[in-house]
Parts: sequence; C-alpha cells; structure tokens
Amino acid sequence: MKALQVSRVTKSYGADPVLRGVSLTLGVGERAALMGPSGSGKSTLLNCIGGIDRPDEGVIEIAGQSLGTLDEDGLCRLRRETVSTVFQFFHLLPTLSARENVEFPMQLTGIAMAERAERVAALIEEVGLSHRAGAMPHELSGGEMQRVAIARALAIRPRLILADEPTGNLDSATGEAILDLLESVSERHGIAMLVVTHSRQVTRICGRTFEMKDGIILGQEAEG
Amino acid sequence: MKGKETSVAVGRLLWTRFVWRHWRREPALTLMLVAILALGVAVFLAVRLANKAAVTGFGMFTESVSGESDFLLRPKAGLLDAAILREMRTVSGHAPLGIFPVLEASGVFADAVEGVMLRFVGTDLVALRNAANFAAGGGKGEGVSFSAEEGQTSPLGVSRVVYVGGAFAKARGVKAGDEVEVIINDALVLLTLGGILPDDPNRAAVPENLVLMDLPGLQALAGRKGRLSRVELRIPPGATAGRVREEMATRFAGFATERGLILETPGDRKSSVTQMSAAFRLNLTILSGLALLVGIYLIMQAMEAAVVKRRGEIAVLRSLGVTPSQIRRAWLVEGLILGLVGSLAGVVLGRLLAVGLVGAIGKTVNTIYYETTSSAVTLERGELIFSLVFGIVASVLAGLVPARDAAMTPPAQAMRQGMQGGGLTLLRRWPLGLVFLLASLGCAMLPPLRMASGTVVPLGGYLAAMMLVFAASILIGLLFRPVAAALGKGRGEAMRGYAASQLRRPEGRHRLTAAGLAVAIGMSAAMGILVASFETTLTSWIQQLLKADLYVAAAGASSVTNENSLSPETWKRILAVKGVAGADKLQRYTISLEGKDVFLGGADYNDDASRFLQLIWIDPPAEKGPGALSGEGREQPPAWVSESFSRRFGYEKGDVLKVPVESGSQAVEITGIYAEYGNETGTILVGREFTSQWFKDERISQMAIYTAAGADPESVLGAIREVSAGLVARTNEKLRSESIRIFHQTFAVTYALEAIAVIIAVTGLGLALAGLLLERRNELATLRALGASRRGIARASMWEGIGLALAGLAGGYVLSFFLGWVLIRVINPQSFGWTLRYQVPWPSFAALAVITLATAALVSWAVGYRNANLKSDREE
Amino acid sequence: MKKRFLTVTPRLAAASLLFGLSTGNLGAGDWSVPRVGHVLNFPRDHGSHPDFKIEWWYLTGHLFAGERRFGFQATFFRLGQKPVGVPAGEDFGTEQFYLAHMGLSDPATGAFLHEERLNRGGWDAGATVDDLEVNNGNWSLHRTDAAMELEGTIYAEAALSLKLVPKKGHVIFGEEGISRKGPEGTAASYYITFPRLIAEGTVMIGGEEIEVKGEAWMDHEISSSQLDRNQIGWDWACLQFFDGREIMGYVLRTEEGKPSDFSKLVWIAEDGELTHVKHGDYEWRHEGSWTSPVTGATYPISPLIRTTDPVSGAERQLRLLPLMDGQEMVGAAGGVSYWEGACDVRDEASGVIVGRAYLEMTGYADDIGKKLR
Repeated sequence: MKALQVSRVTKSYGADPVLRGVSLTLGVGERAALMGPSGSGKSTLLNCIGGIDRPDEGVIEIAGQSLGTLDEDGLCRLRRETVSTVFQFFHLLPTLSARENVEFPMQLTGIAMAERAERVAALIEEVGLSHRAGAMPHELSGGEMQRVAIARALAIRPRLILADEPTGNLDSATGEAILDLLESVSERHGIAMLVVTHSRQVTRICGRTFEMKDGIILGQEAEG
Repeated sequence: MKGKETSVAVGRLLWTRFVWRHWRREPALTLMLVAILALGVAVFLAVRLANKAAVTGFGMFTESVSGESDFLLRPKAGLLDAAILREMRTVSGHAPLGIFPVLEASGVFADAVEGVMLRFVGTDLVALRNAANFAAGGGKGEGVSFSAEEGQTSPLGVSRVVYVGGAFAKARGVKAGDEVEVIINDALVLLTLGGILPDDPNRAAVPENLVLMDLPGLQALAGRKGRLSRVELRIPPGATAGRVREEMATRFAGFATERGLILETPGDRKSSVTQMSAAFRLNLTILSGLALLVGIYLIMQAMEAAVVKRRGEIAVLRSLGVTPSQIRRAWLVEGLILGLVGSLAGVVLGRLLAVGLVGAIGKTVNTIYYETTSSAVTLERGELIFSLVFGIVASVLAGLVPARDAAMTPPAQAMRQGMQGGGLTLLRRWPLGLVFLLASLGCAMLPPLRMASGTVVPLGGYLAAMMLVFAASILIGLLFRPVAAALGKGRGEAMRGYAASQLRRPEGRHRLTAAGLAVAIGMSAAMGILVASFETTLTSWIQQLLKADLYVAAAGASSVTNENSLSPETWKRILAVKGVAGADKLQRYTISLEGKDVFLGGADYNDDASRFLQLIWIDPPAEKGPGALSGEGREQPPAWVSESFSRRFGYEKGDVLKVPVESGSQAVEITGIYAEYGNETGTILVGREFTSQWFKDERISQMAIYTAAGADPESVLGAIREVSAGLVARTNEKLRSESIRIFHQTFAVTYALEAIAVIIAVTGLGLALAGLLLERRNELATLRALGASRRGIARASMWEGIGLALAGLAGGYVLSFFLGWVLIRVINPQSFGWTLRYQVPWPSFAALAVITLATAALVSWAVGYRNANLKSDREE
Repeated sequence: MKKRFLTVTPRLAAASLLFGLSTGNLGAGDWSVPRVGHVLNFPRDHGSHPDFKIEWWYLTGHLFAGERRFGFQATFFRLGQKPVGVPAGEDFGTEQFYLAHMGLSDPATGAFLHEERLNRGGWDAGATVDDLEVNNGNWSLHRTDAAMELEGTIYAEAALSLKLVPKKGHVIFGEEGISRKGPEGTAASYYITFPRLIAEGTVMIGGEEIEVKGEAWMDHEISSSQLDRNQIGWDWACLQFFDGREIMGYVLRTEEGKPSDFSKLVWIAEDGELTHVKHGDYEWRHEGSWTSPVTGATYPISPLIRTTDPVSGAERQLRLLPLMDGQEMVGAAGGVSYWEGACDVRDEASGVIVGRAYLEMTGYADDIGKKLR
C-alpha cells in the first residue's frame, strides 16, 4: 500500500486550468520534493491532497483511502488521523501554548489525557523544545515555532506529512536544522512527506523531486 | 494652507479608496454595524418617547384650557370662590389680560365604574374664544363653524351638554347628539354630547378621558356652585406683552400672598404634577440609561472590531506616509457616517417601538396615578432630533478610542507578522475599576440635592450608580481568567479548551462584550431587586393594612387624583345596611404645602381601638387608642404623617405644622409617623371632625366596613351596592388581589424593557463573536487543517460565547447587588421617602441567567457554524 | 335663518365654542321695539336697554400728535339672547352677550390694529341701565358728568386711554324720535349721537406712549332689528367739517342692488339743528375699490357724496379719502366683517380738504342682514 497515490488529477478555477493531469506516488516513509515556479499549481495540488480542496477529476488515495469517497466529516477525520500539514508561517494557534498546540490534535481525536500528556512530552522532547514547552507562540522564535508545528504534525501519528515551504520563513541555518528534524522524524516514524518548496536545499532530504510547471509534472502528459 | 488642502485631499482619498470600499466589499458587516447603532438609538428613543408620552399625559391639560396661559392662580387647599374673578379684573386694571376660570371634577362611565377616570373641565365656553384670538394674534375668522340642530339645548349655562375629543368619541363610538351616562361623585348623570373637539395637528391631541363643559353646568353637576379649581391668566401677544407680564406677575403675586393663594406658571404646575410620577420616571430613567450604555458598548465594540480587522491595511497606509492624525480623522468620519445612517434607521425603529411601549406605559401610569390616557406619541420632533444627535455623538465618541488605537498602529515594516489586538487598553486597567468602585461608595454617601423648586434629586445616588457601572465594566476583565479556568477544566474537549484559551487572553472586544452584557444584566437585575423589594414591602403592608371585611369607595377612587366622593346621605345609608357593624371613614384633599402638593386626610376611625394597630409605624404616637386623633386636651389637633411626607418636608414627631385649608390655615401637631406606599407625595392624617369643619364638607372618599358577627360579607356587599350606583364595593380578598394586580401591571413594562436590553446585549455578543471569527480566519483554516469539523468550530464559538456570557452574568449579578443597594437605600428614600426591604428575587435571577446562557450558547453556536468555513488570507 | 353657530378653532387643543350671535327669529313680541313719540330720558337712556335685542355704543375719531395722526374705533355691542332652558347666572350669564371691537389706524406705518372680543354678560362684561357704563374684559367706556372715559387695548400691542368731552350736545336722529330702517315697524332704532367730542389722552402703540388730541363721534343705537328683510348691508359715514358742522349719512343696500328708500343723510348745524335730507335728494356714488386679502371682499372705499348745503344752498360734492386702504375689521366671534376707517373729506369743487370723516361699509364680506335683522 502506498502512502500517497495521485492519479491524473485535474482542477480548474473557472476557465483557468490549474492542474492538468497530475500523477505521483509516495511509498511508505518516502520523501519527495515538489518544486516549481509560482502559479505552477503546487499549492492547489497540496490543498487537494490535504482534503481542503477537491479535484475536478482524478483520484487521490492516502494510505489506501480514496479522498473522493469521503464526505466533509470523513475529510476532517482524515486530517485528524492520517495527514498532517506543516506550514511556511507555522500557523500555531496563538492563544495556546507550545504544549497545548501539540496536544490539540490529540484532543480532537479523543486520546485519553494520561496518554496525551506522555506523548506531548515525548514529542516536545523529540523536537528539542522541552525547555520552551510552556511558552506562548508569540514568545517563540521562527525556528522554535516550526519545531512546535512539526511536533503538532506528528501528534496524530500521521502516515503522510504535507510540508508547504517549511523553511521558507527561516534563516538558512535554522532551515537546515528544521530539514534535519523533518528527515529524522520521517525516518524514525516511517512517515511519508511531500515537501513543496522553492529551495534546492530541501531536496537534500528528499529521495525524489517532482518539477511542476503549468499544472503538470514535467515528464508527464497533460490530460485532455 | 497647502497642508490643510492636502490633508483634506488625503481624507477624501482615505474615504473613497478605503472606507467606502470596505463597506462595499462587506455589505453584510457594514449593515450589521449600522444595525447595532440603530438598535441602540431605537431603544433609547423608544424609552424616551414612552417616558415623555407618560409625562405629557399628566401635564397636558393644564396647558390647553386657554391655550398657553402665563399664570395660574389656585388655592392651597379646596376651591376658589368665583367672586374672586371680579377682584382679579380690578387687580389687573386696564391691562390686557385674559382671565379664564376653570373647574375640574372627576367621574367615571356608569358602565365602567372601575375603568377610565373621566376628567371634567368646566370653563367659560364663550370667553375661550377670545383665547383663540390671542393665539391667532389677530382674530381672523379661521374658526370652523358647525351648526347645531334647531331647538337643541344651549351648551351654555346649567346644561348637561359636553364636548369631547375625537379619541373619546372613537373609543365610545359616540357622535354629536348622543347621550352618555356617567357617575360624578355618587350620582348617575345623563350627558348630551354637544360636539367633538377637533385635534390640532400642532398640539397634543385632546385626551381621551377629557370632558369639556360650560363652567356653570359643571359647577351644578359636581355640586360646586360658584366654585373654581383655578384661574388661568393669559397675556395677549404684542410689543408690551413682556412689560405687562412683569406687571401682572407683581400684582398677582401680591394678590396671591394676600389671599393665601398660589400663583404659578403652567411650567411649575407641570413639574409638580410630574413629581407625582417620580417613581415611575425613575424607573424609566434607569432603563433609558441602560439602553444608552449598552448602545455605547455595542458601538464601541463594532468600531473596535473594524479597527482590528483593518489593522494590516492601516499599517500599510502608515508606511506609505499617511499621518496618525489623518488616520484618526478618517476613522472619526467613518464613525460619524455610520452614526448618521444608524441613527436615522434607529429613529424610525424607535418610533415604531415607542408606539408599542406607550400603550404599555400608558396603562401603567393609568393604573397607579391618573386614570388617564397617555397621549399618543406626540410633540416628538425634539425627541427625534435629540436621539439622532445622541446616536451620532455616541458613535463618534465610541469611535474615539478605536480611532486613537488605529492611529497608533505602527507602519507595516515595524509590525510583526500576524500582529493583532492592541485595542482598548483602558479596560485593562483594573485598578481604575477599584477607583470607580470607591468613588461610587463615596457618592452614595452624599446627601440629596434639594432644588430651589423643592424637587429632591438623589444626585449622589445617580452618580454612585454610574460609577458602579464604570467599575463593573473595567473589573469584569478580572473574571476572564477564572471563567477560562472553569471552561478549560478537564481539558477533555479540544474545542472547549481552545475556547478557554481565547478567554485566557481576552481582547478588547471580549472585554467590551462582557462589559456590555454585565451592564445590561446588572441593570436589569438591579431593577428586579428594586421591584422585588418594593413588592415584598408592599405586600406585607397591604396584608397588615387591610383588616376590614369590606371596602367602599366612590367610583374611580382607586386613582390617586380622583375627586369623587360619597355624599353624607349615601354613606349614612351604607352604615344603616343590615350586617354593617361599623366603619372607618376617610376623606382626602389635595393641598399645597410649601409649594408642593400633598394629601390631607380626614380619618374617622370609628370607635375600635384595635384598628389603630393597622398602620405600620415608623415613629409611633404615644397614644393610639380611640380619640388619639380627636385632640382632646391638646392645643393643636394631632396629626399623623406618612414617612414620605416626613422625608419630603423634613418634619419630625413633635413638630407643629401649618396646614392650608379652605378657610385659611390650621396648626396641627405631628404625633406619629407611619409607613405608606400608596403614594409618594405624602399624607397628613387628622381626625375627620377637623377636616369636615375646615372644608365644610361631610363627604368621604373611602370607608372600611366591619360586618357584624355572623353576617355574610357577600350579602352585605350586595346590599351596599344597592345603595348607590356611584360606588365601588369590594371584599377584603378582592381588594388585596386588586392591589397586587395593579402593582404587577405597573411594572409590566419594566420587564418588557429589560427583555429588550438583554436581547440587545446577546445580539451584541453574537456580533462580537462574528467579528472575532472573521479576525481569526487564518486560525480557523489551521483548525480545519488540523481536522476540526465545522461543528467543532461552532462548538468552540459556543463555548467562547458561554464563557463571555458567564463573565457577563457573574459581573452583572455582582453589579446588580451593589446597584440594587444604591437604588433601595440611597435613591429610593431620597426621592420618594419609602423604606423598602432589600429583597433579591432569586428565582427570576436564576431564570434570567439560564435564559441568557441558553440564548448566548445558541447565538454563538450559530455564529460559529456560519463562519467556520471562512476563507483564510493565505488561500488563493 | 334659524341657526346657532358653534365655532371651533383648530388653533386650540381644547377648542373654543361659541353660541352664535343670532338667536333666531323670535318675533317682535319677544323684544321691545322703538315706539314713535317715545321721549328719551337722559342720562338713563345713555345706559343699557336689555329689553331690546341689539344695542351699541360706537366711538370713532381722529387723534393727532404733532405730525402724527391716528384713526380709532371702539365699539361695545350688546346682543340679547333668549336661549332655551338655560337659567341665568350672575357671573356667567346667558341672556346677554357682549361683543366689542377695538381698532387703531396708523397711516404713518400703514398698520391697522384691531381686536374682537366676545363675552357673556357676567363678571367680565356688562352694561349698567341707569347711565353709560359698559365694560368688556379690560375695555370700558363710562360717562361722568363732564366727559366720557374710554379705556381700550389691542392685544398687548396698542392701548387707548381717552377722555371725551362733548363739544355739542347729543342729537337724536329720525322722525318723532325713531330712526326707521325699513317699512316694517320693527326695523327701527333709537339713534342718539354725540356728533363732536373733544378727545384727549394717550395712544400706546408698539411700546411707545404718545399724548394725543383730536375729535371723535359717538353713536348709541338701540333696536331689536336694524335691517329690513331685503337689505343686505349699508354704507355709512360721519363727516366732521372744519366749519363746525357735521353730516351723518347712509345708504341701505337692497338685494336688488338699489339703495333702499329708507337711506338718509342729515346735516348737523353748529348749534345742533338737524336738516334731514331724504333719499333721492342726495347721491352716494360708490367709487374707489379695495379688495381685502383676508375676506376677499371688495369695498368702494372712496365714495363721492353729492348733497345740497342747507346754509349756502349750493350743491356740494364731497369725496371721502381713506387715510389707508386696509381698515377692515375682520370679525371671527361675531362672524361679521366690515370696513371701518378714517378718511379726509375733500370738496371736489375747490379741491380743498374741508373736514374729517369715518366711513363704514358692511355687508360686503357677508350678508350682515342675517345677523342683524
């Protein structure tokens, strides 16, 4: 079973085709980079995979589950249990502390408090922020925020992490550290990762790189 | 000069390119903002209009007998002799002066003896025409003539031809020439309707209960031959009117002093009449204050939301070189325009609301004071403009703080990514809240303000109440932490925890919303405390007071101003009814003491000593037995005065008081002070043997009857009713339940207004949450990315709303205990002189809390559900 | 016309009501009628005659203060009523109504100030029977041995306080003591006139008090019916010549538009001797025209009177020149509007002003006959 299977996905906004037949697969624990200029359709593809947007045609399967068969609740469950996202701007919940941000997805899935506490501690430790666990987002540096975001992404033990420019808002030293962290968690937990990026630097941790342009991945045929 | 032009140009640019486009892009939000404003203004206006209508109902007629008179001459007690008119013409000499005699009497419809009280006004119907000439200023023939049928009785002289207004005719379905059966005093009278008085569009409508008659006719009908209630003086217009008015004021002031009469302007009269409804007006004042404050909170909250929402844009404008003052001005202009539009809408809405309220208030006023119809909402142009201006000023003022906040936004490059909030800092300064609290306590200690006119204004009390409200608005911030802790407890539910986390770090909006709620709840609950205290006190007073078996009064006597009374023949026949063992009798007069109206009662407690215990004593007399009011062995007749009288005039037990009576004045000695909640004007009670001498009057207005042992009260009641058609007889239970019913009716409108305040506050809560969610739309996107469902987000919103409502309720109730205390212990005794028992209506408090929480939960959930899928900034 | 009028003015919320002035055709039997040969008895007959239906004391005159001049009118009407089933009261009587008009013409400013007042007989209006003493509100006219005293105001805008001393004694118009207005015996009056009174006192106008002197004319007329059935109004004038003589003249206008035969003109000599001129022996030409903006009535305000001078025997053409056009007394309470104004008299032959006059024109705005018949 593949972690992610995207088959001939198309998507248009009005008359503008944004995705013109994209196919890609990720094996379990496999990491791939998705590159391309602005407007090439990367973000739309990511949204479709994350279940925030729906493709016009084509099939997206995550851990063997086809997104097309899921209703809104099903998609919510998918995001709560299977896929996590790491964002360029971190998107921590500003009113929650680092620890609470990490805990939040587990609360959503209804994991018991004792287990939650244990797992939160482990995750925080894993991303190297034990000393900052009680801090509020606005008290954290960019790198620290991204570490919290990664810990939060790991909280649900996902099969797939979608990372949208995870280093895009960080200086290069910090970016390197975040990449190392991503690589190590992926290795350790066997989580597949699709990293959208502008940066060649990122491909360092990725086995494969997909280049996107005008709604297709280079080397693939456009649909229709 | 150039700078100024640029500034104006920038202002226009900011307006057309930003403010206006925001509005156009988000019409729903703009509409909401306008709606909030409109609601605030509407409630304010409605309450004011309703208040005014009630007051107009009281004061109107004194104005309108002769149009607008310059002076009134009236006796301190009893009536005037008509012979005084000739003397008055002599006093005025050849000066141009219209002298219009008036007699007033009261009556009821024969088919509704407990219904509307009719006010009979007798005046010279011929001379009244000359007053019309004054008004016309030139006696042009603008009169509308209508002819009476041939052979019809003259409306003049000792006739029974009357004139009524259109409202009367409509209500009774009568027309000119029809006959109406009424009861004046205890006699049944058949009146002929001579015509319908047209309403003047420029003046208050002719009150529904007004009956106009030629003076001699009313004198005959009311048994007041040759007597007058008052004389109105009117100076015609012209170049020397001012000089003449001064001269007449001097001459008639001298005349009044010499004769022991009262000379006053209709304004004086109106204010003294108005004084009578002080309790009710206080009620309304508090309520309109409530509407005002809640309105301001709503406006502030809405403006603040707009600032926060456009913070990024403001930051960009700042980096492009727009100055803080230009930003501030743009916001003030925005506030002004929103205020204008909202206020206009509010005025329309408020006018509609008032029509509904006036009915309710009119009923209330009728019940307790005059059985009068409060006029429809009239003379309101001033009120409309006032409310409009209020709305605009309030929205500009409410916009001041957010505007300052906007202007202080740093340029974009200095702003941290995602920086939000800021907002109201004032509400975060909780020590300031403590200062207000202390100031409030200080104000509560202040003595009342005694105006030159004799009106007592509990200024300190009002100030204390205001300070309390400020204190509560600020201190409410301290409640967020405990409320958040309570909500976050258990940390089981992700969305509840998330909601709690929002409240742990409240924004200005949260504070304003909770403060608005707290003020609405606090003031409503304080009213509740006042009403409950009033009710408890009154009920126990009634229980103790009403010990007789049957109560008989002249028709219409349940109203304070009723002048109907039972003739000696009638009451003697009642005493002779089989089964009647004895009766207490009371005749009541309105007299003017030290320029203020009070009641003088002539009480005849028959012979049973035990009944004296019925009064609740504040300062009991040494002697309470039979003859305690007879004054045997005393220099002056003894008098018992009510608590409100004692407070109003500052008399204590042992003081000697000069009471004006028809034939001059009489000294009485105060030997006891008792509690009375039936009126706030105050009562002086003396033996009826004295009043019957002083007023040459053997009539009585009420009697309390004790049935003989073994007699069936119901059958005695039936026999008494046979005596005369013009009396109302009730059993003890009936009177008690009537009294309680009247009480509840009086405060019915209070509940309605409270409901409106709470509805507005909860609406404000909904709007605040909608704004907060809008602001947090990036966060919502994150929540969705983390797998939160739409219902989950709705739940988070609900918990946040519940948290805010909890804070508002807790703060509101604490506020209400203080406010209730100020109302009952400070404002109430100072303005009416009533000692009330402090009583908290726990069940209704609980109900209010449950209703508020439930509506808050519902509204917040709905808002959350509706806004859960808001697109975030980062999604294309 | 059997009608009572109730007048309601919408300007007042509590409207005023009014019993109309005409109480209907009660028949001559109900009221006294002037009798031929009846000898009037003074001063009693200067007083009131409540057994007659209509009575008025009517003062007009010209007042001077240096360059400034005024015309004034002060009229006290008494209107008897015979209402149905209404006992009389002392303070608020129903058997007598007192109507009064006060007017002041100020040609310097063009202002014509006037006020109308109606009161029932009682505490604030009345007239004594034994001598002249009438009052209506703060207005009064009463006679002392030497003079009459008039007090009047027009709202708080103007006031008149005059002492009036007769320069000649009173005269009584008509044949055998009664002045007939029509063929019916009831349409007649006792008509007593002081043709020349020296007036002295003050006029207060617009806050300014002015000492004035001048001459006035007073009519006292007592009747139960002033007009005949087909008469619709009259034109009346009193002319006071600088040579000490006066003219009182009137034309009664009929429905057919012709003057009634009962129209009359009387010359009063300096010694009070009367020369009656019959209808047909003098001419009253309606000339000049002014339309009232209030009532819409058009009045011939500058009539020409042609008559023979009884002293010289020459024909005189006398033109009345109103001091100002707008001198219309608009009555609301009485329901009667008429023009009553101060004029100069010009001798048309010589073109010289030879005297002063007061001109009265009724029945132009409405049918006064209905009210006073």
